[in-house]
Amino acid sequence: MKQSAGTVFSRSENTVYRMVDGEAVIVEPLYGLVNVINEIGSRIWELLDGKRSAGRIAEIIASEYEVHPQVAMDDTLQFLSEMSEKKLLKIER
Amino acid sequence: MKPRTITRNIKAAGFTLSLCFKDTNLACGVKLPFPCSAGARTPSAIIEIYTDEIEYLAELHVTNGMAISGEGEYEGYFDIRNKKGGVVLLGGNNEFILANFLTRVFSLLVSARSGLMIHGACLIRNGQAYIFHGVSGAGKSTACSFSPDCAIASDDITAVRKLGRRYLAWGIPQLGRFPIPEKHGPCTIAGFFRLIKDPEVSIHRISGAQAAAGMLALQEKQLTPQNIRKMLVLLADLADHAPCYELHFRKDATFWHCIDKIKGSE
Repeated sequence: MKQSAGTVFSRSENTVYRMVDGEAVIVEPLYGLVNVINEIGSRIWELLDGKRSAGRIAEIIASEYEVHPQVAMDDTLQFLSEMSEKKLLKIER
Repeated sequence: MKPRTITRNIKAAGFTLSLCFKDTNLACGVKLPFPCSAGARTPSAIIEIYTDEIEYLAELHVTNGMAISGEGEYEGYFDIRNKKGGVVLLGGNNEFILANFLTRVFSLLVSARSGLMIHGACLIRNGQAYIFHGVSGAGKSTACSFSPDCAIASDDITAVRKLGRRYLAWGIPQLGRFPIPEKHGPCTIAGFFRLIKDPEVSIHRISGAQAAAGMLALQEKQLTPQNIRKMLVLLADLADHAPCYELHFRKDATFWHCIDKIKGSE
């Protein structure tokens, strides 16, 4: 499924994560995957609550990090796409 | 007539195991990598060791604890609550098989007491532990070979435990190519060094998240949904208390110059 600004994601139930000095360590036990996410990716990860759309998350990122809204949108969608491919996210709607 | 039991106490990672050998020939002949524990210290657990499977099954009354299987080489269990365990050796090299089982028992004890086992070599230098970790083949034994100024507490497994506010390290000695050390810990931790083979020798500090993720990935056999959260919390705290580095090294001792240089500048 193609991600768009209206897509709503949530974290996969299997994942375990912890913030360490501003970076998220995300573990997918079933596949033995351990990921380290940079600061902005970690913020996106924290904002994934199963209610906010990708577009709403991008707006928050643009505001907090003072980046152009379109750049924030592109980066957010790319991050969410990569996380989906790693089975760390699921699409709510 | 009930056969005689021979008891021997060994220690590792701050724990003492009282080994009760039901086979006197095995007790006299087997050489274990763990130092002997002298004195009347109360053991952390008592482990019964059998070589006769039928006798073992007759004596075994496991009501608590967990089974520990050794892929056809041994069958055993450990009951941490009641501080007891048992193993039957099923044939092969009894020294290696028994050492393997006992390492797993020590691992369970360490995990239960705010600690974990790291797949890494533990080298003691000036009273501090330098822990070189990485996947099999990353170069742990090579790093040991080029460290003449160090006591090699272990070339493969290191136990780390939090005692009070600080973490301490013990090497878990292994039977193999390096002599069994007299002292294997506890030591304060000079640093964790993730090994990368590279013609160019270099070192750089890595973030707590990167360090925790790297060490967690080495725990693949122990990663279960039940323990992963606890392990992640522990590793994050550990990375917060001890410096972590990525060390690119080749087969010579020059990596120690890099380590000394970066430690001297911190």
